[in-house]
Amino acid sequence: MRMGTVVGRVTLSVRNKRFVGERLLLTLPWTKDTFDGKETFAPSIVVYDELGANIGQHIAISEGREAACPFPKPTPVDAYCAALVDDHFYKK
Amino acid sequence: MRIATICGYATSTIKHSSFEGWRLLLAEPESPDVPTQIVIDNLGAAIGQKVIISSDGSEARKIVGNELSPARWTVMGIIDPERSLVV
Repeated sequence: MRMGTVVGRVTLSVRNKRFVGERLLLTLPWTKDTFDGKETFAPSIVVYDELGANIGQHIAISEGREAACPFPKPTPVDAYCAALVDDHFYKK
Repeated sequence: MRIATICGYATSTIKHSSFEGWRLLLAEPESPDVPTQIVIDNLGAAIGQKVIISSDGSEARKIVGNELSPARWTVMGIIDPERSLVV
């Protein structure tokens, strides 16, 4: 899971039929430099959220095949908000 | 599987139910192509230790004991620095 900062929300007007009540967040994933305190991020990604993350919050993003695992039915998701990170400790 | 250094931890109150009770560590892989990952640890790795992390999601789901878990990266072993040539 990568760490990410939520910077926006995405609302769909037309959606894949497997998406029901989805909440999509625009998120900037962290790079090594972000952990070091710089304002540089990896390219933004859209993350499926079920936990209710807010703008500015730090989240843990699960990616790849595992992002679709929490759904009982097959769902086309490749980035999933797995945790809202309250706090983190980083030592270089 | 990749060699990584444990460089911190994350705490979370609201999370996927499968992460309840698990340590979430920050692991920085040696190779630059993989960014710093939040990993699940059931072996007790400490900050500063070198570990092997694996991206096998099916093993991660077995470790947390939930087939619907979004967990992917887990600590597979802690490297013994005295007996390894790689460290």
